[in-house]
This record gives sequence, C-alpha cells and structure tokens, in this order.
Amino acid sequence: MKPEDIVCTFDQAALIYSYGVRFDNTVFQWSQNKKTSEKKVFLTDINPISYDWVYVFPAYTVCEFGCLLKEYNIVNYREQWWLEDCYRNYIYAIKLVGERVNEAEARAEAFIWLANNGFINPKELKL
Amino acid sequence: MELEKQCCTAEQAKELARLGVKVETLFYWYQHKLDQRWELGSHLNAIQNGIVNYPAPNVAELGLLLLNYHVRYRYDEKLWELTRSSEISSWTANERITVFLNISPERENLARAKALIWIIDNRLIYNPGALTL
Repeated sequence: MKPEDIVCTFDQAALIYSYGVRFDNTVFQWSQNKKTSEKKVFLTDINPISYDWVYVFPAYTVCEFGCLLKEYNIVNYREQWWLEDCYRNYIYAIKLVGERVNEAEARAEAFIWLANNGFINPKELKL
Repeated sequence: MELEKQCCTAEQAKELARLGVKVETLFYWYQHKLDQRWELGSHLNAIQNGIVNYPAPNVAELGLLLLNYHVRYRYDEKLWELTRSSEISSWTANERITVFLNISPERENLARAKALIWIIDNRLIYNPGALTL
C-alpha cells in the first residue's frame, strides 16, 4: 500500500484543519509542490522534504482517526449509512464500498459528519 | 501518534509470519545489524540495516486483511454475557463472522493484529499465504 492509501484525502485534511483541529504529531503530512501544485503524502519526520515541497496539512491515518473518534462506537458497515443513539454512545456506521476501500477516507467522512453536527469539539480532542 | 502505535508489535509480526501470512506492507519490523534492537521502518531500511525482517501491517492494512470479518472492540454486553470467559470470541450470523475483542479501541493496532492471529489460529482463514494487500 502507498501512504496515500492509508490516510484521508487532501480535501478532507483541509476541511478538518478548517475546524480548528491542530496536531503536529501525525505520522504523515499532506504536502504540496510549490512549482507544480502536485499533492503527495510524506512521513512527517522527513524534514525538510525538499526545496520544492512544503507540508500543508496533517494527513490522519485510520489509527489516528480511531483515536480521535474513541468516544464514538464506530463500526464498519458495508451496505448503508446508519446512525444510532445508544445511551451516550453514538454509533456511526461507515459505508464501505467495494472490496478495496480507503478506511481513513471513510472515517474522515464520519469525523466530518460528527463535527458538522456538533458532536465533536476540536478543542477537546487528543491524539 | 507514534508509528509503533499504528502497526502490529514485533512479536505479532513474527507470529503472523509463522502462521504463513506473506504480505507486502508499508512498514517492517527488523532486527538491526549493529545492536540487534528491533526497529520499525520502511522496507528499504529493513533490507539495508536488518539481519531479519517481518512485515508489520498497520491498522489500515490489517483492516483490509480482515475485510471479510466484522471486528468489534467494544463488546456488546448482552452477547458478551455468553462468552465472557474469553478475551476474544466470534459470533456467526447470516454467514458473517463477527469477532469480539475485550480490548480498548485506543490500541486498535494490537486489537486488529490479535483478531487476525486468532482467526488464522482458529482456521477461519484456510490459506493465510493467499492473503494480499
């Protein structure tokens, strides 16, 4: 697998950043080429990457989303979206389409949904 | 979050290799030539600096290897009542196997690797060597 396969998309990373979520201890970073605007994922501990590339947003992995969403009971469910209020645990089912799926992308969708609906307070998050 | 918290442990990597899992992963556990310490790094690092190396699937890769299984970390209390004697158990419904682990979801790397090892050990996967990423 490539790093791009195990992290959220660039656009999701940008949206999460816009919510005020700030972590500098993610394993990967979305980076952008200053000349070509190409976007690529690099390991955060490679610093500096090169003259042409700059880190733009933290690129959250499946595991990191799992940690950010630990207050929620996230389950993978293939067929449909499903949300259930079970006592104080919000169960959010992530739609996984096809046999090969980017689970980080799916979890990012869950995270964005929870944030948009006021369930997540970025200031309280720990990674 | 440290890389070590996102991949299976060196012991789990060795166990998966012993069980016949041969997958190409993003990171590998390798024993360093100089001081015999176990380190986690890229395949290139593992080949250049290691005496021996084992694939160290991360949470995302373990998720793909477990795609046909429904792994739950926070157990369902009603179901767990029936199986509380063990840390891990499975439940089959509509030909779909659900694996329950009595493990905190904060250590998802350990939990998923543990689930995969358990599934192979219990012969729910017949040919671990055919698993691919």
